[in-house]
Amino acid sequence: MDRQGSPLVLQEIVKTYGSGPAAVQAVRGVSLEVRAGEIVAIVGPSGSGKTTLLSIAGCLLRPTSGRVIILGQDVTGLGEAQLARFRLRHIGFVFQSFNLLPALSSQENVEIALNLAGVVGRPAHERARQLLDLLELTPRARRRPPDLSAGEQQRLAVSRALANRPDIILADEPTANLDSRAGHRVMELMRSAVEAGEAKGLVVVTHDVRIIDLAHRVLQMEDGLLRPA
Amino acid sequence: MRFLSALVVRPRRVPLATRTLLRDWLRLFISIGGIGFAILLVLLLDGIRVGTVAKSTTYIDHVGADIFAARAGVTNMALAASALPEEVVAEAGAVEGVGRAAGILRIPVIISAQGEKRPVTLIGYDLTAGLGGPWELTAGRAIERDEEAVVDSALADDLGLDLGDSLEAIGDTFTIVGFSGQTANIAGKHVFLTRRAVQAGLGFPGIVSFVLIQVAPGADSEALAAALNEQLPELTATPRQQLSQNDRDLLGRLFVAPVNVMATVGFLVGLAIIGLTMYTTTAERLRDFGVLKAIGADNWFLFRTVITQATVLGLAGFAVGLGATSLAGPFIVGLVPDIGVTIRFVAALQTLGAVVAMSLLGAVLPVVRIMRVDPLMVFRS
Repeated sequence: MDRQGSPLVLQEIVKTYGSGPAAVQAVRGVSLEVRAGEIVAIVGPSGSGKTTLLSIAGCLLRPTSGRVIILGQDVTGLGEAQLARFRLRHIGFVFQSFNLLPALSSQENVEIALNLAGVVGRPAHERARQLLDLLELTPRARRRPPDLSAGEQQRLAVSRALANRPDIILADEPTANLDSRAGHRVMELMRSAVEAGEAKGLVVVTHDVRIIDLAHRVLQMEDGLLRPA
Repeated sequence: MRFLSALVVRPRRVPLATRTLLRDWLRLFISIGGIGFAILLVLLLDGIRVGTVAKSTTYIDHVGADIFAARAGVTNMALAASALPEEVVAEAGAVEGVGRAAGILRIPVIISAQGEKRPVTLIGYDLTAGLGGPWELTAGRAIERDEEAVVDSALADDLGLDLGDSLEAIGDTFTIVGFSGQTANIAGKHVFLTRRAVQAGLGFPGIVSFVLIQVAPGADSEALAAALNEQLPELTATPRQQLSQNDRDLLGRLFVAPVNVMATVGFLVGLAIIGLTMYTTTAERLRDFGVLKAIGADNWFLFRTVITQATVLGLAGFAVGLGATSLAGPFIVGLVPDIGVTIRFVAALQTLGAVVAMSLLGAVLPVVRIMRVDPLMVFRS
């Protein structure tokens, strides 16, 4: 297995909340490799550990044991500031509740992710325009998130996730708050972005069967364990 | 350097801090207005202190004397107790370099007019000396007889006095023949009588409290004051500017404590407003900070955002406060002629420094809070 070329590798990940008799093992020795250009869907019931696993893959939560390797680099031991920089440059997030910044326009919501990575001024402006165009949001560039439909907000969130050309996109229930047409559109656009090389891989946690059809691989999470669906 | 760069406006970046503030116009308006009011309080108090103290020496500054002589050891006019024999006026006039000398009797008293009483500074002056009386008449004429008085025009307005009305002072009744200008201050508005009338009313015949001296052409005030002190040891002669400064220093010290207390109150009010605004703004947008952390913003970026917001609030409040003070100053002087309002550049600069300090202090709690934000909150609906 060529792990240098894989955007994301999880090895024997264990996550335990609490300690002693009250300890809960949310993830129990999960391993996963996402290959370049691959779209992986993780399905499973609520409380099965999907979001915990996604948080660990996104460097937002430290595993109790195991290793997280992104583009060949073991990030498990990095400090908070290093992890923040790593997330900024290598990981794009799409959340169920969009998590856009309501004070900023659509254009600025994308540009701020670029600004954080040190891309400012005209290059940031043009990259944001390009992504809004790709996600068919150009007419909404000056609108703020509260003025957009749910589908538009999620497409904007995808634009922001793609801003810094991440190695991997991690999406948590990205279609849960969308109607079927808008959800399908968002997934199609995310798949197109991966195919266009805007991101090297995509992991989607979902209950939505429509997404499963678009994934290259579907995995089932249950009781903290991951297995092929 | 990094901190300083945070305060510099960089238009090439998304202005998250100001956009967040501008999102709630009403709160922004109230916050800036509140801070502006606190700044107004601080600046106005200092302005009143400086302006009023400056106005308190109006008699010294305008009466036309170059040197003021009082009982030996007395170097103030305000709150000073000085009594000299009338003969000393002629003795002072005989010193080489003296152009003119006039004795006045100056004393704080209560006067009655139109059924009301007011504290005033009574000046009894020698009509023949041509020095010591009112220097500006806004209406009427100068005193010609012992039964006549010239009253400060602001006092006349206050009591509703007209020319020809009478007032009671030091046990006698006087007819008002003129109104004087530039003779109101916080220590008491001036009422002018003849020196003889004041001496008679007080039972101080042959007594003056100060000798006012004009130097002869070509003579030097400092040198003449020194000569007077040497030749007439029973009195102390002080040049006008020195006496004026002595009085301002004395009155200024009386004002310092209350002004400092009010300035501290103003600072704390401003601090509370900035702190509260920043805290509520941050608390409401905690999720935004969580999102920023999740997508890779470091703590320095979040710190910078909060500090920028606090600084923008503080500076906007300062501008509003400074503008309001400039407008309020003349309005207050119009309402209360006794006092003056002088806004000092140094005081404005000091207040600006305090605003920056308020902004930084007001941002402490919000900064601590956002540093603790867990980026995992982004997964919660």
